[in-house]
Amino acid sequence: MEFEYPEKPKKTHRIIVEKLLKGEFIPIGKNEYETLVNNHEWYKSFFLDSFNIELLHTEEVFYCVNPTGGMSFTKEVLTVLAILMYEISKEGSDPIVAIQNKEFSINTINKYLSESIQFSNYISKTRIDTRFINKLESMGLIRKRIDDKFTFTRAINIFLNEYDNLTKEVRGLDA
Amino acid sequence: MNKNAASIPNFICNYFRFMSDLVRIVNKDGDNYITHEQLQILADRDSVPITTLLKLRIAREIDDVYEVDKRVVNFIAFSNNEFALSSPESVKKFHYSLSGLYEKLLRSTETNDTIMHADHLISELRDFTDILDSSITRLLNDTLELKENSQQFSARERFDTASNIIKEYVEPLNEIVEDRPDTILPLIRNISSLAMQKSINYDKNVENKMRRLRIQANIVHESTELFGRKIISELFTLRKIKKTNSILSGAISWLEKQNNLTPKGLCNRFPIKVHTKEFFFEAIEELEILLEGDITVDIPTKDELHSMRMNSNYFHFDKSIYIDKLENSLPVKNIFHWIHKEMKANDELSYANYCTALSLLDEFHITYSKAREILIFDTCKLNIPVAEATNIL
Repeated sequence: MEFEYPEKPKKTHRIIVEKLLKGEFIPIGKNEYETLVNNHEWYKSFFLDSFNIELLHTEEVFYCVNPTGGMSFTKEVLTVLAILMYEISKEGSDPIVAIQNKEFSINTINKYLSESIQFSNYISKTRIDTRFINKLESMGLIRKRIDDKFTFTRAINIFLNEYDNLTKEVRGLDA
Repeated sequence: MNKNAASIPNFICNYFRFMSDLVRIVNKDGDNYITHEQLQILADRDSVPITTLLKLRIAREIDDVYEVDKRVVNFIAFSNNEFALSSPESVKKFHYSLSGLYEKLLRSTETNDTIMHADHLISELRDFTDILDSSITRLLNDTLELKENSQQFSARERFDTASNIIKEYVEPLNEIVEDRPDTILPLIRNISSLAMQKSINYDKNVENKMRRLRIQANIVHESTELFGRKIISELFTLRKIKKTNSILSGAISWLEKQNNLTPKGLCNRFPIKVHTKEFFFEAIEELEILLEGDITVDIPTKDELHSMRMNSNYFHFDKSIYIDKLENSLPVKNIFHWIHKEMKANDELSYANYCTALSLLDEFHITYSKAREILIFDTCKLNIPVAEATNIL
C-alpha cells in the first residue's frame, strides 16, 4: 500500500483515529463517516497495518472492537437498553422501532427503569445520570436534541445486534 | 340413489359441533388421526354414537387410533373455513403430477386420449389452486396471534415460532411458487400454450375442452402469482417478528444471565503503543537504505533499560496502561493516592514523573472533597485533596 493520506483534512484524520481507538462509534451523519466511506479501503489497511485492529462497519456506522478491555460501560448500556426495550414491548409497542426513532430523556428512561419490577434483582442500578448520557453522546450512541431530549444514533443498532448474537449464544448454552 | 345417501349429511348436520371439533383436532396435526381417548371425550360430551360414525365410514379404526375420512374432513374444513396447513411437500407433488399429465397431453393424438388428459389436467389444476387457497388461509390464521403480540408468548417463544414457520413452511412454499425456469409457474404457462396449439385443427369437442383447459390454466397461473405475493409479504412480516424477538429475547437473556455471557468489547478503548519493536526495526531498515550501508544498533536489554531509567532523567509515561489499570480499579477513593502508589510499585516514582502522570486526571470523572492527604516524595511532600474517581470519561 502506498502510504499517502487520502485527500482530506488532516484534522479529520486525527479525529477518526482518536475516536475509533477510544472505542467510539462513527455513525452516518457525521463528517468523519463521509471520510471513512470515501476512503474505506485505505482506512481498513491503515488500522490493520498500524495497530493490527480490524475496522468494522455496517451501512450505518464504523467502529472497532477491543475484546480485552474493561467491559463496564458496554455492560451498563446493554442493561439499560434491555430493560428499556422490555418495558416498551410490555406497553405493546415495537421496542426496536421505538429505540431507533423515539426521543428519550433521562427522566423517561429512569421512569422505565424504576417501574421495572421484573428485572430489579438483576440490576445494581435503577437510575441513569447526566454522566451516563454524556458518555453515550461522546461514544456516538446518542444525538442530543433540545430540552434535554435525545435520540439514539444508528450506532445503537450494533448493540441491538449484540442481543441477536446473545440469543444465538444462549441457544448454544442451552443445547 | 342409495337409500342411505342422506345418512352422512344427516349425521354431520345432527352432530356438527362434534364434527367440527373432530376436524379441528385432526387438522391440527396435519394427519387424519385421532386417539381413542380424544374421540371418546368428544363423543361423550355431545352424546354421539361412535358405532354410527364407524358404520357410515366417516371414521375407521386402525391399530390404536381412528382415521377420519379425508373427504369429510375437507368438507367440514371448507364449511368452517378451517384448513390444515398443507406441507410444502404435498404442494410440491402437484408439480410432478401436472408435469406428467402435461407430457401425456403433449404426446396424445387420439381425440379420446386428448380429452381425457385435458380433463385430468383441469381437475389437477383446480386441486392445486384449492391447496394454495387453503394453505394461505390457514397460514394467515395461524400467524395472526403471533403477529398481534397478545402477550401470551414470551419473546423467546415468538422467536422460536416465527423461525419454525419460516423454515418449515414459508420459505419452502415460496420456493415452489417462485417464477424460475424449474418451478411450477412456467409449467402452467406451457399447459396454457399447449391447450392453445391443440385447439386448432381439431373437432369441436376437443376445441371446447382445450378452451376450458386454457382458461383454467390462466386462472391458476394468476392465483399462483397472487399466492406468491402473499407468501412473500408473509415472509417479510415473519422475518421482522423473528428479528425483533431475537433481539428482545437476547436482551432478556442478558438481564438474566449476565455472568455467563460475553458481549463483544463495544466502547472499549485500545491500549495502543505505536512505537513497537517492529516499528523500530523498520526504522533501522529505512535508515540503512537512506545511508546506503549497514548500521549497527545496540538494543538495550530490559534490565539495561530499567537501570537507564533509574539513573537518568528518562521517563516514558505509558498513559494507556495506567488508564486501563485505573479503569479496572474503579471506583478509586483518591486518584492522587492511587497514582502515587502505582508509580511506586512500578519504580517510576519521582516528583517530576508524578506531575507528568497527573494528566490521567483528564480521563476520569472526579469528585473533589474537602479532606486532605499528604503524599511523600524523595524531594518533597505534597498536601493534596482527596478526589474520588468514579468513571472513565
